[in-house]
Amino acid sequence: MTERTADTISGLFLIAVALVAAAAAQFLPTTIAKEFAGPSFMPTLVSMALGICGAGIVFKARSIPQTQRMPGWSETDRAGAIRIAVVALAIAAYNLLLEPLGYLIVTFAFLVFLLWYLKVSWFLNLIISLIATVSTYAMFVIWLKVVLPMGLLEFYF
Amino acid sequence: MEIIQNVLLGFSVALQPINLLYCFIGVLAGTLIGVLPGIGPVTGVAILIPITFGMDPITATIMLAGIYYGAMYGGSTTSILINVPGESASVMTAVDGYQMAKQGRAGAALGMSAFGSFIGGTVSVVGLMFIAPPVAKLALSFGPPEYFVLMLLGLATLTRLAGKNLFKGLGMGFLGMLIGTVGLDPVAGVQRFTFGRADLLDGIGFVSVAMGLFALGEILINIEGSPAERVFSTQIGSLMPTKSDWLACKWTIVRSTIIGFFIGSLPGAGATVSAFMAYAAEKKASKTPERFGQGAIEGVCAAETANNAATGGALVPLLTLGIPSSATVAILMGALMMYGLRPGPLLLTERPDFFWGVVTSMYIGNVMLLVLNLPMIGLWIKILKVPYPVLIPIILLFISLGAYTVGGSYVDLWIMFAFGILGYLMRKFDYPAAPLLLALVLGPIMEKNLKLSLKMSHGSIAIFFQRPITLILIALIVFSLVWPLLVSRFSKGKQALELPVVDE
Repeated sequence: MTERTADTISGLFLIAVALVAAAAAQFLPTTIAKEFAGPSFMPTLVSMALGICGAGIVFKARSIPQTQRMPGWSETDRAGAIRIAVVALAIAAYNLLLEPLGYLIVTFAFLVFLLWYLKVSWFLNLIISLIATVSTYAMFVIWLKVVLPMGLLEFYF
Repeated sequence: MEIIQNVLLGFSVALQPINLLYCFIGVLAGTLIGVLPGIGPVTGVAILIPITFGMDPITATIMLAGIYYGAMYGGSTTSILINVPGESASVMTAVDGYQMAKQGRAGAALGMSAFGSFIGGTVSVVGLMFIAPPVAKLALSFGPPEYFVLMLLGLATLTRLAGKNLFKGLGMGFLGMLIGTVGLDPVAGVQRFTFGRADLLDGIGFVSVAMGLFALGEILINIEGSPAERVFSTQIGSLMPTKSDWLACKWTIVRSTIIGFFIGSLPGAGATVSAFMAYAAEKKASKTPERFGQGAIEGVCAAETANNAATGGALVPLLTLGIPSSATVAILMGALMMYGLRPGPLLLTERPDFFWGVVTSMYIGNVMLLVLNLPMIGLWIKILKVPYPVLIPIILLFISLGAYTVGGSYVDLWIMFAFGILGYLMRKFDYPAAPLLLALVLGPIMEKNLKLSLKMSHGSIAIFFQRPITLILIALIVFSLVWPLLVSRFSKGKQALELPVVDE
């Protein structure tokens, strides 16, 4: 991707965020009990400023030479994009399953999966996953008294 | 002598065995975080906040501060040995440090960084001790208008310093302020953008945001690229700098300490910018500037002295005005508020044991770091050899746990996730992350002070222009925005300084 395209896209994105936020702010009360600058004041002001910055980025992008490529972008590297998608999905799955299945099961599975995916040997994988799961449990639940969901194993705790 | 009494009080707190222990744990963890590329001081402090729950606030803060300045020491090791800065404040260390390592002088570079760091760090604590009390006294007379303008100044310097595109820095600042409006309105108490969810009433937790933007974003970037082989170029050699090294660096240390402390205390600047400025100043002062970049020991010394001196400076606005100067300090401030402390001018008079205890612990921590760093260099190198694929899942687990325990709800896990994706995209599209986080922390406080000011003046903004302190601050804001433009106008043709991406 060229730098010009990247800046244009991200600038337009900021403008879109600003428009949505400014519109949403109009549903807030403008003043409560004769307050100057009521609840809608700050969101409106800030989203307007954000929109101006977005426009500034888009405008400035036009002066970037068309040939200038964005550093760190490569069209051919599919493998990298897949790695990111897999890790992101693993985190999303962790967040979703934490409550129903419980901390111990989900954490162990999460670590085993990621270590396997990142090509760590099975022996090391299982040892790290087991130690990390048990020791974080000991630290957070037993020592720091944090309540973590136990899910399926709730009965035993 | 009041100050001697205060220092004695501080040492009586800092030398308690429990505080010594946690100071040690803090600087050790800080060094480790500094050594490991991929987690910087922001993430380090954020991850360890949950561990401090239930601790005495003084002990907890001593540990978290130790992580902050410890990371500055650790960052130099990887910069010098493998040309991979462990965190952004060490970027300038790598420039000459790695060249020195290639010439077989890694030991001297490491030794000089450690000594420079020690001197810079210690002197900046002295500076903090002498400057904080008068600043706090002055700040006691500040009302909402002064605070509002002061925070505006902080955001102005930050956005000005973060990256080459002004609109990108400013835009991220405004985005952070917009995200900061989620939750209850600070004066009227009306719900804003909460979608009726009770767990958003307190707003978007900035610890989750920080972990997402800084830690998860960085991990995703690292996963995308294929893991590069890390090659150690040379033997380390003697760690003691030679006499000629000391002679070369004598004035460098003095200059860099001063630059580091003052730049570090500017809201919005921080250690990275300090290291950068000190390096540039040394290059300018040198009779042989062409040596810089080819392995000049003054370059290594300047960057490392300044980034440590900045840590003491950075605590001045936090502990006296309640204004964080960088993303790491913002996290520290959040932690203080969680412990029920109010960072600000009253802290010094209400909790002198806290203030002086934490400050004096930094002397002790700096001594510990000097002792830890040099003899244990072999251990740090071994840790560097832990393959990244093993570290990634464990770091991910810790940031998830941290977001969940600090925020206390599932929503925080998703906030962390969403900001991780955003952080990744921001790196790809070359947007700075620090203004967003700082504005998220400052935004609600700014809004509250703006509203209170307008209440005082019955709705007239003239109040900001009628008070002497606000006028001075407004002049500073205008200056900080206009000055870079003037500089670039008058130095046409000269190469402009380009700052590294600030991730602290």
